[in-house]
Amino acid sequence: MSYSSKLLQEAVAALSMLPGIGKKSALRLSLYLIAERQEDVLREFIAPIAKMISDIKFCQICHNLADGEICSICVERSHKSNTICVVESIRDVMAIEDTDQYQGLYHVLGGVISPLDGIAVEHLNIESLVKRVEGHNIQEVIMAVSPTIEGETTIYYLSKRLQPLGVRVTLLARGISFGGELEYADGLTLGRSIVTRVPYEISEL
Amino acid sequence: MILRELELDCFKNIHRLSLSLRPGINVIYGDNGAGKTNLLDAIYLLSLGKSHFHLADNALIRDEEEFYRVVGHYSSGDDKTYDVVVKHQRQGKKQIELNRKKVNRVKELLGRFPVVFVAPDDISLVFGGGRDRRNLINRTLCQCDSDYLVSLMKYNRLLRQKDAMLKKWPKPDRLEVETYNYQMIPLVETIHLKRSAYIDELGAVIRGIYADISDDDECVSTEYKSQFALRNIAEVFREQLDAEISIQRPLVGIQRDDILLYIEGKLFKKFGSQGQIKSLLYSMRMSEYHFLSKSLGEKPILLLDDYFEKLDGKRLSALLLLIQQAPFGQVILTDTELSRSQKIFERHGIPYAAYAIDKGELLTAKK
Repeated sequence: MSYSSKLLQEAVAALSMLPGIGKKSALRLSLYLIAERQEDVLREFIAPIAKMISDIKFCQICHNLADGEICSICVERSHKSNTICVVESIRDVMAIEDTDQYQGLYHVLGGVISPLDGIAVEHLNIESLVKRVEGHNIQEVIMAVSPTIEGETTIYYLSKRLQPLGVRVTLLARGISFGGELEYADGLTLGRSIVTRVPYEISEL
Repeated sequence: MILRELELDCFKNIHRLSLSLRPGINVIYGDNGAGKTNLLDAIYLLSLGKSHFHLADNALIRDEEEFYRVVGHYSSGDDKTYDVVVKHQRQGKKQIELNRKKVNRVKELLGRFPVVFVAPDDISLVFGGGRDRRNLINRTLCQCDSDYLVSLMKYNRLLRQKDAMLKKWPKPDRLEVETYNYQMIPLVETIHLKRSAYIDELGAVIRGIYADISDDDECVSTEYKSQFALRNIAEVFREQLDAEISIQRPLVGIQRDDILLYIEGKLFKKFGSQGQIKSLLYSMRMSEYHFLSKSLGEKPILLLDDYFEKLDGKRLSALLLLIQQAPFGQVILTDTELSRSQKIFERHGIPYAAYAIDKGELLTAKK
């Protein structure tokens, strides 16, 4: 596509660097921004993004996103909870928070151990987790890591590191998903679900 | 399973070709370089999702073309029909379809259209490294045992991760390496057990076939060579741990397995004569055929590349005997000239179809 303005061309190129945004979407967004009132765009759109980029921090305790040195979850729950949920990424924290089922602390690893992709133990937030468990009165560590080969590797490694500290290590339950149909479940999941079946509880009326 | 029709588009040196095959014997003949082997490789590709010659998918595309496409129409004993399509574009990912539905994992295809490829590079089974012999075991077991296939795939992934871990700097500590060993141990257990049972049976089968075709009553035997023989698997891993870290590569595992082949208690590689080796190779290939038909309850398609070149006297009669035994599946063989095969089949009263190909094109088909 040819542009009459080099400024436009550069803005389109910049926007299309974003994940999920192609050239055409980038052009549409750019034209939209041009059509809006200039000060509105700067105030409502450019300023918040610039501020986020310059001011956002990673929590020094759990490596979640934070406005200050410590994230809001750590500030609110540190004295109340002694459970840490270990996740790969910040998005996993958000997913678990959305369930409203967990009121404990988090620890963001920043990935899983995968030497083939150049990610070894020292590239992940593992030492800080071990220190956290050592230094505070942590009772339980929940492994909420994907059940892939690399995820399993990470879980095993972490469990071995935590073992001498005497902390209870638990794993997210694995099995048939809600609303899923049995015939579409893969054999491995179904087999494991049979083996690790749970008692049916009749709720009191 | 019978391959009824085969269609090729831009596959290796073949531009466009469509071929109707019959149950029983099919002879494809033509000069060297006409495309006979490529045709067999296409049939192999339909069964296993990859080339017999370990070629990358882009290397299978005809020069200066953008894609290849191979289609096979099969029919089974109970008159069901199956269509398999394998296609690949230069920039894209290979796609496999079974009855017009996309196959996401090769696993779903394996064992459905079993095939045994007997190729001129067979000699590597005796003189090549352990890899060639492991490939033979893997190919057979993967086609008939999905548990083996899954374990092997997972093991190989872990092995690659472990290898990368060992090569990193600073050197990994023991726990980092043990993390992989721990996950490999149950897989090694499964694979070792299955290989062990298979190789035992293989020995007996090879011995039987070999006795049928050789003049002397030499005794052929096989031995499964493995680091885990009669050992505790975890212990073997533990013993090598420090050595692995210092030498920076994996030293333990089923990737070091091998089959030793003996004649009269002596290594074939060193003591086998030309004739004995020919008989052994023939027995090994036929054992693959035997296993697949036994465990799948289905006769594999037998692909014999340039085979009359290597067969003589007893071996030829044994093969013909096997072919005459009903029910026998489909055989597709290649030869540089028709007259030789023609003479043999007519002498034994075996019906066959013949197809001439030249420069990647089908010339005639006669029955």
